[in-house]
Order: sequence, then C-alpha cells, then structure tokens
Amino acid sequence: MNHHSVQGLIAAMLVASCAFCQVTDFEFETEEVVLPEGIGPSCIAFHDIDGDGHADAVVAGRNPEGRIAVLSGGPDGSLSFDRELVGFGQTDWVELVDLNDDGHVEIVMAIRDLEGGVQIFDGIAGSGFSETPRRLDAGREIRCLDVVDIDLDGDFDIVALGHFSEDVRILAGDGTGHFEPSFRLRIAPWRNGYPFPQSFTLKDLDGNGTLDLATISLGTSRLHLNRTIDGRFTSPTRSWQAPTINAGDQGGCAYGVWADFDGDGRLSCLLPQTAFGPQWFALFELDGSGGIQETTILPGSSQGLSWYPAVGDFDGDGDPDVAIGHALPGLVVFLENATTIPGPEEFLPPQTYFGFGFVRQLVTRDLDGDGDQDLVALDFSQDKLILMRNALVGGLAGEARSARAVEPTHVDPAMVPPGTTLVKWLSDLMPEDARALEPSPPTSSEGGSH
Amino acid sequence: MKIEWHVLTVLLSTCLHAQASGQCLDGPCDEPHGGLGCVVDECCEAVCDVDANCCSIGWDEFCATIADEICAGLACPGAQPCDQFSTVPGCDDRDCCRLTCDHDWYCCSTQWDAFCIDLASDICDVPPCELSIPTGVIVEAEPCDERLNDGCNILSGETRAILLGDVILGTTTTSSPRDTDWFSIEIFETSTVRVFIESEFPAQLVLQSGVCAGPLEFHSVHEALPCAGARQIDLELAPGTWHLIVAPGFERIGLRAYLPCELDELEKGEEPEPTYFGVRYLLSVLPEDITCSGEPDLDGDGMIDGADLTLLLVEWGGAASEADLDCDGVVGGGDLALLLSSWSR
Repeated sequence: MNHHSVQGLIAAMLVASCAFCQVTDFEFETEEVVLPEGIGPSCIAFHDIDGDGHADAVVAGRNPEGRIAVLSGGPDGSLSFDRELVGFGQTDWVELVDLNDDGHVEIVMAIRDLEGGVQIFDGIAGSGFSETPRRLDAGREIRCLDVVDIDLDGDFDIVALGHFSEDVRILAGDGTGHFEPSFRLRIAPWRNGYPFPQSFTLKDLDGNGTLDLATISLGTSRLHLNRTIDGRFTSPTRSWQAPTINAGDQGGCAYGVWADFDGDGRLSCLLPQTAFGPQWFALFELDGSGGIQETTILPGSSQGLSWYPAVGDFDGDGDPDVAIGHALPGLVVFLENATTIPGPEEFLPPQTYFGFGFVRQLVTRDLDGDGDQDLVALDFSQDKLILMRNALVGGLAGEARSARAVEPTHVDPAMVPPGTTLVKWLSDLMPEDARALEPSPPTSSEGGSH
Repeated sequence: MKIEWHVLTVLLSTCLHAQASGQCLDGPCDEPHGGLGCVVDECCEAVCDVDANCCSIGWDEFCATIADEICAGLACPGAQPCDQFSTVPGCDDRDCCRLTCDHDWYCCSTQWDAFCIDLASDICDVPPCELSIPTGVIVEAEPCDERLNDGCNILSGETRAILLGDVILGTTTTSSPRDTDWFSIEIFETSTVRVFIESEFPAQLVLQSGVCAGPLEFHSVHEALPCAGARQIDLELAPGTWHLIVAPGFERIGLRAYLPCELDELEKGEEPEPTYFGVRYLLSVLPEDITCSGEPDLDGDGMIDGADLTLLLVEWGGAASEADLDCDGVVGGGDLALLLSSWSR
C-alpha cells in the first residue's frame, strides 16, 4: 500500500466515522407472522374486530382464488392467523370500516382481478363476516380504495382507483351500507391508453378543511392533484414529475406518503423513484393552495428496487424519518431525517434491514401501545408479515438512545443466504464511490399557471 | 342434365350449411350436455377445430374441458343485447360483439359493462371512411414508427406549434409506443377558440397546459367519432401556452389497439394486426369570431354567381375566412362544391 493509499484510507475512515457519529442506530426487534402459503399479502388494515380491546387485522392477497387472511390480535400487538375468507379474486387493498354503524365492522376491498370492482364482506354478530362478499361495480382492476365521507353528508363513501379503467370513482354511501356511483375522474388521458394509476391518498391539499385527491400513476410516473369541491374532484388535474435520475432515467413511482419533513408547516409527498441502479426518492412540497411549490430529489438505497414508503418518528426526535420497502432484494431501508429547520430537507445515509422477499407494503403503527412508532412489513413473496417493534424509543428506548455506541455489523448483502433471518446492515459504511449517485440538479417550480 | 346437377349441388350445400349452423346452437360451452356444439359460436368453433367430435357426436366433458382452456375471450355472440348491461361477457350481435371486444377485451372476458355498451354504440355499424382532404393543409409528417411531437410522453418534451387558421393533417397509431400528437398554441388574451377535429378513427382531443416537470394541467377531453363529420369544440382559453393533444380513444378511455403502423416489422409467421379504421385526422383552430355561416353569397348581392366565385378563388388555400363555407378551416374544394351547388340561374 503506497503512501497516498494510506492517507486516503485514513481520510475515508475519518469521514466515515464522523458521518457515522450523527447516525441514530435504528433498532427494531422483528417477529414473523406466517400466513397461509400462496396468499401473497398486498395490504393490511387494522381494527378491533372482536371487541376484546386488541387490534385485529385483515390482509388482502394477490392470489387467484381470492383468499384473504383474518388475523387475531394480542395484547402486546402480536398477530396470529385466525381464518381465511374467500372473495371474488385477488385483492390489492383493504379497509375495515363499520359502514352502516351497526357495531360490526365491514371488510372493504379492492378487487385487482380483471372484473375489478369493490367487494364488501358485511360484518355480522359474533365477530364474523358474511361468507360471500357483495360486489360493487367501480371500474377495472381496482388497486386502491379509501372509505371516507368525501361529500360531507355524514355517511361513508368509497373512493376507488381503477388501474385499467384509468379513473378514480366515488361511490356515494347512504349510511346503510348501500353505495351508488356518483362521480368519475379520468386520470391522464394524454398518456393515451396507459396512464395506469396505482394509488391515491386523500389529503387536505389547500387547507380548506376538505379532503383533496393525490393520485400516483405508474404510466405517467407523476403525482396528480385534484381539489375537491362539493364532494367532487375538480378540474384541472395538475401533475408533477420528479427530476430524472441516474444519468437521464425517469424513475417509476407507485406509492407515496405525506409528512412535513422540514418543519415549515407544509406537507410533502415522498415518492420513491424506482429504477435500475441507485434508488432515489422525490419530495413534492405543497404550496398551501393545492399545488406543489418545490420538487426535490434525494438519494435512497444503493440497492434493491424501492417500492413502498412509510414515515414515522422512529428515533423519537420529533421529526419524521423515512422507511422504504424494496424488492429484488427485499429490504427495509431507513433514512434518518437530519433537516435543520427550515430546511432544505436532508436525510442521513440509509440503514438497511435485509431478509425480505418483496416488501409490498410498509405500515407505521404503534403495535404494542408503548408510544413509539413500529412497522409492519408485508412480504409478498414469502407469505408473511414482519412486525418490526421499535427498540429505540419506548420499550428498550432509554438504553439504546443514551448509549449511541454503534457497533455496525459488516455484512455483505450478497453473502446473506435467502431465507436468513433479518440482518441489519449499516449501508452508510459503503464506500463513497458506491454511493456516488450523481443526482440531477434538484428543481423547484412555482405552482399554478392558468 | 347440367341443371339437375346444379340443383343437386345447391341442395347439398344448403343441407350442409344447415348442418354446420346447427352445430353451434345448443347447450352451454362450459358443461357437458350431449348436444352438438355449444351456444357461443366463437367458442364452439374453436373447440370443434380442436376436436370435431364436439360438433358431430356430442359436447361431452372433454369438450367442456377444452372450452375451459381455450375459450377465454371468445364470447361472441353472447345472450344479451349489445345495449344492455350484463354480468356475462359478450352481446348478441356477433359482429358488433367481436368488434367491441377486439377494442376492449374486457367486454368478452369479464362482463358487458357500461364501457362496452358505449363502445359498441360508438363503433358498431360505422362504415369505413376516408377523409376528404382540403388543399392547403399542413401535413404532420410524423412517420408512424417515430415519435416527434409526443410532448410530455417523450423525454424531449417536443410539441408542434399550431396557429389560428392552421389545418393539420395528422396520422396516429396504437403501435407501441402509442402515438400522441401534441400541438401547442400561444394565446395572448383571454378568448374563445373554435377547434374542429374530424377523424377516420375514434379520436380524443385533450386540452392541457403547463410544463412537463409540473404543473402539467389536464383541463378537458373531447371525442370525435369516425366518419361523424367535423366535431366543433369551443374552448375558452386564458393567455399562455396551451396543448391540443390528439390520440386514439374516446372521452371515457383510450383506444389501445388495432391502429397498426405499417412500418412495423412483423416477426416471422406473425399475422398483421387487423384494421377497422383509417389513421388520418384533420385538426384546425379558428378564432371564435370568424364564423363560417356556410353562406355562398359572398358579396351579398343576392346571387350566387361569378363574383362570388372570384371572391372564393381569391381566398383559395387560405384559412379562417368567409369563403370557408364548409367550416373546415381552409378554403378549398369543399367550399367550391358548396358554392357551385347553390349557383344561381
């Protein structure tokens, strides 16, 4: 080793150790919940179905038989498989809501199969559900839905996204569990046949107290926003795209999550940018009038394909951190929020948990009621849930936080055999050149035009 | 003797035809029932191509199994009228059913829903048509295997400028990647512009503004059905840059197939995609205050004569004038024909 190499190594170690000093060493204790083989978990919803005071859950599944799993919850936030129900086909989304206020929760699901639609298992006495669901026509290949009072008439409505019918529809409820189609919004017809919307969230984008629509479309790789007036999504639909990454690629995006990352009171939508090569995520910050005032692109994991984001204050320091579920390989990647208020947003290098197949969904939730933010990861390809209990704050928090003595495990992800129990790897210790992501320059744009 | 043989041949062919028709008349396709063939012609024919016994001896369990394996999407004719909702795929007019399902497989694979009803209404019984192309049009000149003006659907974001009075002759394709033609128009003060679109295929016209990075604003979508004449759309536009986007499709959904690009190379043994519609369209934009009254008495003297002809010829090839009698945005042969058809004695 020559003189320069030694100097370089020392410099790199110093840089690495300095950077590392700032990193919260996220700690999660993991627990697997094995689901019936082949169920292909895609989405989970929680509710105390049996009224015992503990959250139970229902898991949607991408399997042709239409099987879904009902899980029984324990006092410590644990979940165990209880029974299966069979619906019309593979399902991509689930919500648990007492639609008719009879004290029994209904299972409302998005049917992803060709016939699409929404299926509802009506809740019945004795913590049960109707054996056969009823189906509502709501478009083709429904991939996402929500149950809210969108028209503010006091009754639950269903908002459903049709991946193949290129739309978001409102099914207006009358409070008895009955729904009628009331509105249809076409998504990105300019994309001509393949906008393929994938998910949406309902958020008050303009601060007027009503829920507006934020749709993410695979075909356009864009975030589309619509204001809601009088229970309808209004024109124009305004959309934004993230800057290109990795020397000109337009990253794909499927799911987003909202939080105020820089503490300025404005929400941002975080969209992982799926691409071959280094992963990135975009932040679209609201301008207060229902538009986006700033778009920022930031580096994420250097491996895997980013898919599903979640936010939570995982280190208990008062700001939202980011977790992103990945596929190929399946990872859960944490990015600690290191933004100095009022910004710009800054995140520390990723910390990675290995051992998943395809993290199809990632849900932030205080599983055990200890006041911290835990996670539930749905492993689509391995038919299991992974409960990730936060061991940093709450629970084991005190010790872990005060210690801050990081003993990273140097694990080459390539050496982790498939099916290995979860291994955490601090990917900030990667060589700098491996993280040389060459970002496109962040852009900002003023909202509003015509 | 020749006549007798001819009669015999006709009788024989009639008899054979009756027998062939009878092979696909009765019984469900997905259950053994012992009858000849099954009720859904497309499925019946496909199964009997595999095993002729299903149509000559009886529809047994084996036939039902074959049907289960190969009849997905073969649902024509179905049992329900094409203008009625049905949870069963297909509709009872075989040709309309097939045409609809070729453009939206869902209608023959899943159910005959509102989209299928609307689609059938829009495209069944539409005869093939060719646009009458006026002189003076601006040819889009985008080869069908290239994407030169696809706006935010291509990384370059290229659009093509269109001016008030321009008449564009464009073409489209559903060949991958599907074509979208983005025309940009600058508006300097709030005004209403009158857009005409006429098309050989089901065309959607999307009004959009903004920039690709965002905000890109989708305002409205309109449709022009094939052979239905020029569709007039009045758009009130604020100052700024607007995009008029032409693509195959309807107001409710895009058209995803069957407008192939003849320049695409076929794989060995691959059959060319069938076509049902032409691929050309005419798009023109006029200020609203230039009306096209269709009144050929251009000099207002109460006579349609040489003086009117002269006025028309003066405007020949131009756009957006009183001489544009057929309101297609350009003064051409169509206007001349209209004038001559009203010629005074």
